[in-house]
Amino acid sequence: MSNNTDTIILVVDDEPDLLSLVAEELGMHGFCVLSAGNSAKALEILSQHKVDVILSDVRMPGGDGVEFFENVKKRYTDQIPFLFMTGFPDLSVEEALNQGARAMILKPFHLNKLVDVVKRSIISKA
Amino acid sequence: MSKEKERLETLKEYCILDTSPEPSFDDIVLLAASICNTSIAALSFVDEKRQWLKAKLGLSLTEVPLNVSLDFETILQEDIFILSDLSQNKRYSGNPIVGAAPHVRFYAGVPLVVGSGVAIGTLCVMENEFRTLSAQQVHSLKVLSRQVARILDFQKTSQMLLKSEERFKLAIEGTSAGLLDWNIQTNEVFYSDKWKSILGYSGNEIENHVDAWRKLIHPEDLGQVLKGIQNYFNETNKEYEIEHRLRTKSGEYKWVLTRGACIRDRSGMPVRMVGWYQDLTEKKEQERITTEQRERLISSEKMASLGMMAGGIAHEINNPITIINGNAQQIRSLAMKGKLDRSALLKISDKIEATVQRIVKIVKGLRNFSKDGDKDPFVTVSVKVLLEETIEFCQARFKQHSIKLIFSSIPSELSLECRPIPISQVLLNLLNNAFDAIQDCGEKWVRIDVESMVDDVLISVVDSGHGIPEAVRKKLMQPFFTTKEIGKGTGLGLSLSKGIIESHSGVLFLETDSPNTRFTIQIPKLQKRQKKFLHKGVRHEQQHRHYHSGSR
Repeated sequence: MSNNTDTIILVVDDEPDLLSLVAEELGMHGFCVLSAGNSAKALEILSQHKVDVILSDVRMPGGDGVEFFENVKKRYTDQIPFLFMTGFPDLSVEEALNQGARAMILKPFHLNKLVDVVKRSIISKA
Repeated sequence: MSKEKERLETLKEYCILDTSPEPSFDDIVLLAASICNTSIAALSFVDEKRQWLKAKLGLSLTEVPLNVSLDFETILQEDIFILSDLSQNKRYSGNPIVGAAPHVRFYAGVPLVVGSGVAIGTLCVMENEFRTLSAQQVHSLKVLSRQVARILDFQKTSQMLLKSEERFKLAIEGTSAGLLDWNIQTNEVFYSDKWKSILGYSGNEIENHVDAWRKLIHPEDLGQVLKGIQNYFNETNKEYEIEHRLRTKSGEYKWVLTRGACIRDRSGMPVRMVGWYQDLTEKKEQERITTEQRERLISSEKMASLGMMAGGIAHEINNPITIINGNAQQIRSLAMKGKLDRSALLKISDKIEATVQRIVKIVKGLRNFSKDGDKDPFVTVSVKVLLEETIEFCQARFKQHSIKLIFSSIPSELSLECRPIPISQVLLNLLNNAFDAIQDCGEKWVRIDVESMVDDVLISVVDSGHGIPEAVRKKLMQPFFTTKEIGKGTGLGLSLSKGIIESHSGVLFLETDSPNTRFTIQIPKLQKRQKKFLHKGVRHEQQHRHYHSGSR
């Protein structure tokens, strides 16, 4: 668990309760978590920190998760593993997966499962 | 038209020039010579260049140039024209029968005046020596010329009849309609080949009697057809036009459209009827397909808005469920570690309760949309509550795209008698249209205005767009019209909405004098009173704003 401390995870969701829940859980597993309530804030964080994994909601005010993903892909060529969390996987999410997004975690999800997917995405990156 | 031009046109109508000799005219020429006691006689017609002889006695030539034509002179004289001694007249010395054999000296011609009063030729008698005519002979020659004119008129009429019959025949053969010609007195019927072939019959398979037709009419339609004919015959109906079924040779029935017209005798009794029918099989099939397609599209429009809603709902509900799920895991994890104290437990259970309340609220709103409200009873609702409940469904989407949703203040006592669910659907449709329309606008907002009038409530959905182009406006409310990208809309939203508002005796319209795009629904506050007003037919013109009945 201790080796997770080097890993920085960016969590993006407009739902504050959910955001804190996910952040707490990942923190308990030793990850360093940065959280953002919208994609603009997330991009700002990305410009200041070297993030290892991005975990993002799809439906958010001020630009949705898929748009955010496309922006990240354009700006950061080193391919940060990108995971979606969504309650309704529509066509745009499937398209994003085809375009290189690493996974889609369906809401409602089990926190353990979320952590598993995050861990796996780090391993596959290494 | 000049007199000569009219004469030449008339001549053309008689189609006589350059035709073969005919015994009836040859006889007349003989008779004329006999009456006048001459050895030469002719029946000639004069066109713009020459005189042409249709019948002749004692002459071998068939044409005479116009400038030396005696007959042309007769025509110009418009009466009998007699020259007793042509040897005294230098003018006609160039005439081939005057200057040369048979050396005509005496000439008497009578113009042939046909039905329209125009002289097209002459009947003339000639002799190679001096001659005079008695009054009796002049009279007889005139009578004879009138008789020739009558024959000409008769021939012309027959020719015209023949032609029109030919045309009629061609029309019968060429038309896609089957024709019948029914002699009502004898019940004998002529059925055209087409009439038979549409039903799969040929040649003499159909008896020339009205019963043959009657037998082929579908038993269920027979009464209606007979009644239709009767009503047309006794002039209750001005037209005979009926859609019914006819049995084909193979025993199936075909839908046809029959029309007919009759000829009546002087007392008004029908004596003859011409009827024609068209095969409607294709048309009926097309109608069925169109209806089916329309129904399918309406249901797909409902499905599309349902799909859009489902996305929103899944998002709305799955978020709180995820939170509750997480909360449960937190409890478990704390309990496992023995760290589950009273304050932690209270904090988490508060969160669960609040989150459950969120779901309850969503489901409650959802129930309103799950059923078809078209036949719901009219109930009185607060306009404010109605709008607030509607907005619940799209607020998240607006928020997500940073579109400002502005609400002008609504008096809480303002109420409306309506079917709340359909009205809410209309408002949601207008809000969604506004949402789609302003995607590319720099400034993004949507505003809802409510106005209370004496009898009506006006609810407007205004967006930051700058109106709708004139060309689009006209088609706005038409079913299937859409300006959205392919696949994004079926173009039924506004037409369905219009129908819903009209079922409330209201109107849905685009206000054209607004700087922004502004759709307004105007509904009477009370339904019953509204109906009374509508019967009087006065309200609409008086209270309407300037509007254009179009849509998006």
